Amino acid sequence: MLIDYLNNEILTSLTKTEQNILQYVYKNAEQVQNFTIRELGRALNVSTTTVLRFCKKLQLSGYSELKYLLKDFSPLVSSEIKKEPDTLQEITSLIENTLLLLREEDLEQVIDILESKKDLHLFCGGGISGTVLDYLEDLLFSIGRQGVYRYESARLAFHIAESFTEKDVLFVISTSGFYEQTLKMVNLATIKNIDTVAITPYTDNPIANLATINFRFFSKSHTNSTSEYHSRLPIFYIIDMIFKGYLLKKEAASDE
Amino acid sequence: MNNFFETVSTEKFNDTDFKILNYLEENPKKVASMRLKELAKILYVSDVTIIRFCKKIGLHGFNELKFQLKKLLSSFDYENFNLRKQVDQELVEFHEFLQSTDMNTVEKIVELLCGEYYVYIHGKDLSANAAKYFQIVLTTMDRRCILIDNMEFLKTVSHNMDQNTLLTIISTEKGEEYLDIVKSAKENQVTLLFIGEDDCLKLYPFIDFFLSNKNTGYSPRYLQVNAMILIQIIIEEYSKRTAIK
Repeated sequence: MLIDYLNNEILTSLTKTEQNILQYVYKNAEQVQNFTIRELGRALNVSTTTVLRFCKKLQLSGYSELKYLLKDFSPLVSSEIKKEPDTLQEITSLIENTLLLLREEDLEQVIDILESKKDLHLFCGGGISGTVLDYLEDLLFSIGRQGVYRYESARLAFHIAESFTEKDVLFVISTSGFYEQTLKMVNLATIKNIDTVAITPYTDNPIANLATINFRFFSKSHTNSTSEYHSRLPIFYIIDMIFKGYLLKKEAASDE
Repeated sequence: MNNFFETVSTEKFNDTDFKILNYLEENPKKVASMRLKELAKILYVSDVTIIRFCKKIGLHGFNELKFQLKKLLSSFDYENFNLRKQVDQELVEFHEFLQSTDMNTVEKIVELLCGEYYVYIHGKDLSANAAKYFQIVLTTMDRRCILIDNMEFLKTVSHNMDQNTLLTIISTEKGEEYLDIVKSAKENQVTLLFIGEDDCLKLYPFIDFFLSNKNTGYSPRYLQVNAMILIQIIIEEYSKRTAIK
C-alpha cells in the first residue's frame, strides 16, 4: 500500500506542489492507475520531472512503482481480508493515515473561520455521524464560541439555507460523501456562495468536490447481515486537531 | 512524556489543595509565568498555603512547581502551532493509550455483549456523546442496548435491574456521584462496567470491569477522544467475534 511508504518525515519534506500531487493521487487512485506520467502531469499542471521527483521523494524507484502501489487502493471496500489484522493495528493505521495526510493550509483556513465572527451551521444526515457533529458542537460551546447552529432536521436546515449570507459557514460530515441530503445542503451553500467545510472519505465524492475546505479521512467498513458501519474514530481525530489548533491560536492571541 | 502532575498522590489533599491542583491543570501556561503573590491572590489563599502545597506534592517550592509546568508545556507548544509536530505528538499519545488499554477486560466485556444480557449505557454532559456513539453503533451491529443520559432515570431504572444486566457508565471523572446507583445495582447483581478516570476509588469495590479513559496531560477535559478509542476497540472486537459466528 502506498501509505506504507509515508511517514511524518517524508511528509514534512514534501513541497506544496508535491503535497498536491499526493492528495490528487489519493483522491483519484482508480484513474491514476491508468494514467501515463504525462497525463498525470497534465492533470496537475506540473512537468513529468516534478512527478518523478515526487516518486523519488517517496523513495519509490519511479512512476511505475507508484502505479503498482495504487493497485490495491480501495479504502472503502470491505473486501475479503486475506489475513485478519490485529484489532489495534487496524485502528492505528486508520488514525495514522488520516492524521499524516492532514494539510496545514486546510487547518489554517478552518481555524481562521472559527476565529472569525461568522455563524457556523453544522449539518449531517446520518445518525452515527450526528454524534461526531454533536462532539464538535460541544467543543465549540466549551470554549464559548458564539453563533453555532446545529440542525437535526434536514428540512429545517434547507429552510435556513435559503437565507445564508457571506456571514455564514456550513460544516458537514459525510461518511460516504454521497448522502443526498448533505449533498443538497452543500449545493444550497454553493449557490449562495458561502464557504463549506466538509469532512469526507478519501474517495472521489461529490460533496468534497463542491466544498471549499476539505478534510479527508480513512475508514474501514464492517458489514454484518443487515447493515454497514464505518468507524468514525478518524473523524473524531480530525475534529480534535482542528480544535487543538484553534485553542492554541486563541491562547497565543490572548497573550498579545 | 513525563507528566509530573499525574503522579501526584492526592491522598492527603484537603479542599484547598484540590482547588490549587485544579487551577494548575486548567491554566498551566498562566501559572508558569506568574509570581507567587499573583497566584495566591487569584486563588484567595496565602503565599504560605501555596508553598505548603508544593511541599506536599514533593517539590521544594514555587519555583520548582513552575519548572515542572514549563517542562510539561514544552511538549505542548503554545507559541507555534506546528502541524507536523502536533500530529507526531498526537500519534505518540495515541500509541501510548492503546498500549495501556487492558485487552483482557475488553475481551470479557465482548463476551458479555455476545450473551443474553440487557445492555444499558449511560453517560451525561461531556460523556453523553461517547455513550450515544456506543449505543448507536452497537445497535447498528444488531446488539440491542438502551441509552439513558439522565441520571434520575438511571436511578429509577437501575432499581429494577437484575443479574441479566450489563450497565455501562461512562464518565470523565471519578464517578463518585454514581455511588448510590452502583451500590444498589450491585445488590441486584448487575454486572457493572465503568469507563472513567483512574482513581475512582469509591466505586472500585462495586464495579466488575474498569477501563481508564486517562485524560492525559493538559488536554482540556472536554476532549473525549480516549473514551471514543476505548469504545471503538470494544466495537472492533465485538464485530470480529460476531463475524466469526
